[in-house]
Amino acid sequence: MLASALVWHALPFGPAEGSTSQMSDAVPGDHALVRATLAGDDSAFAEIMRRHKGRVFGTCSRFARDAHQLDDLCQEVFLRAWRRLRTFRGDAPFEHWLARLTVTACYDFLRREKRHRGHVELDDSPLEFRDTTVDSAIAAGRARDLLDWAMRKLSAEDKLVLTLLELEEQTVRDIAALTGWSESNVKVRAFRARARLREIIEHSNEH
Amino acid sequence: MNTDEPRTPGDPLDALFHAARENADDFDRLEYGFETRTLARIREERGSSWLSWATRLCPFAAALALAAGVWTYAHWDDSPDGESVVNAVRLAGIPVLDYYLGGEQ
Repeated sequence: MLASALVWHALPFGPAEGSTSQMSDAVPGDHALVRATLAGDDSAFAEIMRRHKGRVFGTCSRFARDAHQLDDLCQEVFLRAWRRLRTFRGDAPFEHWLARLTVTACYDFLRREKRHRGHVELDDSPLEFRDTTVDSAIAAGRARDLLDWAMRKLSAEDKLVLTLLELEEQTVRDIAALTGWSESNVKVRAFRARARLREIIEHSNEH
Repeated sequence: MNTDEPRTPGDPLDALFHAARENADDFDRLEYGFETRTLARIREERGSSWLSWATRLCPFAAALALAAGVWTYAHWDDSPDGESVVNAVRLAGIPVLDYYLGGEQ
């Protein structure tokens, strides 16, 4: 328990305003808002969303492909939070609990996407600049497009671990805490995922 | 660099990740009204739960039970049916039969 508590402190979901017990009475903390929500106060949950949606949008935007998907995914995160609010014990900051829910929702989203694409199409849409190199994609300001295209070819687990590690810049320890995987598992997955991604991008340049 | 994995300086993959990180999205348009949209979904979900339906159906169930009680009371028939008369005669004999046929008590 102590180890996981220490991990939570290192997580990037920093304390939101009003989330600490030192705040004045005028600004209720997250725990008070959770209690109010459980008592049936919807405005308290709206306040929770207002406080934390920035981080949730930031993380989910790494996985969603367009604005519509992003909005749906973020709503799904908060719907899950609302459904499971009774399981929040309050022994860790709310934002850490929400961070885990966010990562789980993103992972489920990736798996759904992968299944759906597997049924609908054999290959993703072709990359318009397939014959370009990484350097020219970066120079053209299309690094993200190239990365999105290449990452879509990875498994849900590979994409999740690379996104958290390389784009969200989280540590192996944090990722292990967020996903429930062991640290060595995270390292091995990340190493293999990078190798696969490199292969995909190099292979795309050959065409 | 978050892992212990050795990285090659100038690795194009690292450059790609770095450039992608720099390309931050602006969510202002999406965040507008987000709480309202999500609360609407929550209310919709709350409204469709079975408990909610059970609560809503409570008055109808009570009214139905009341109507059934009134109907039963109004149609209550205390005259004995044939089978119970036969059983009574079998147990108690002819005096019971006389009672039902309006004979001597």
